[in-house]
Amino acid sequence: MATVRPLAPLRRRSDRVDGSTDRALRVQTLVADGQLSEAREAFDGLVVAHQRRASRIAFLYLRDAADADEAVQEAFIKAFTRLNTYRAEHPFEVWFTRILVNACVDRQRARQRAARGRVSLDALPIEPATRRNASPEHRAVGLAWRSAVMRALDRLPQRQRQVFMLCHLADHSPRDISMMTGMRESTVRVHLFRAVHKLRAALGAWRDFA
Amino acid sequence: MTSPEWHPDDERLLNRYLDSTGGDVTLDKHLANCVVCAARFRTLEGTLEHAYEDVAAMSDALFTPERLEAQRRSILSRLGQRPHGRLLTFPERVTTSAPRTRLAVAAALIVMTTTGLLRILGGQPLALPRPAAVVSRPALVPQPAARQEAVYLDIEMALARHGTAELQALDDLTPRAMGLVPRPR
Repeated sequence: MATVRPLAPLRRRSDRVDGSTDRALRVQTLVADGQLSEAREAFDGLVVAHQRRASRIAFLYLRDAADADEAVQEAFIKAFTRLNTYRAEHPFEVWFTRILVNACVDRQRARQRAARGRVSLDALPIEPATRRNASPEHRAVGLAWRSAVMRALDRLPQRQRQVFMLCHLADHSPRDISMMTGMRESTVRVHLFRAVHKLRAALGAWRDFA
Repeated sequence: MTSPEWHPDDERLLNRYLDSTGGDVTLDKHLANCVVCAARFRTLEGTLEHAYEDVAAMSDALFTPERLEAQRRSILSRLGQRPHGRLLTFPERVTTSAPRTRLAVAAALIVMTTTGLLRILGGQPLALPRPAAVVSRPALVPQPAARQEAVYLDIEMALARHGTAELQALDDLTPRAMGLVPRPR
């Protein structure tokens, strides 16, 4: 029997932010006490801790960096102004991501109403930083792969896409997503499973380039 | 359960991939011994990891540290702004066409001049005409019986007209107002 290399213990590779909930509660208290300047300073720490991940989620939703930027700003401002409604039952990250997702969905709808087309994936000007020094052939393959990933994501039904992005690309657990979206955890897992199946089928041909 | 006949389905492999606690000991044991399932798992893992890395790299290339810093400053700046009252746009004044306005002004002047002249010629002191609202205000005192009779008569005649015949059945069920007013003998 062949020996198999041991499995990686964890799939989580993100910098899950610790202490955000405590900090959020502190900001909440400062706002309640009318110490707005101190509250803003404390909130700045939350912005720094979460803005990168938030920008990634918003970009995946909106596929437009400027729109994503605006959605993230709106979400943080909304979070600050509505911090009095935050309860420590859920991690701050989960609560905030829910606000962010709603902001993205609102912008998406507004954009659809305005009948503006989505930015063409092929027209995205920036290529992954990790492949900047690669050979032209590898860069071409990389660009095609990127387009294939994005197209495969685009083809997913809305729920599956949302769950996959939040779980796999934004690194939230199915339980977190359940709290964010209001879906049952089992439903989240079903959507996730179907999404992965479809992505595997769509990206199967590209696996050799990995 | 780890016999060669049994192999985990894709869903279980995915759950294993997503599960950060590593709680599926049975599956881990199986994957450690089954080359086929271990390969399946690696394929799944590879596809997902590659997708993640690529998307993350693309996002990071767009959202550079400088851009994130600008974003942060913008957020703090917007938070620092004092809350201001919401301004409601007042409805714009209805504009009328110039000739119509001029015509209305001329008509008003003619009416006022004529009224003034008539008062002067009639020997009555000049007074501003009473506002129309005052004139048309409903009378608080009971109207004379003759006037009420005329109103009721008008209603009766309207009911008797050809176009309102269909309402006759409904009208028959309605108490007669005329019956409440004592007729002059």
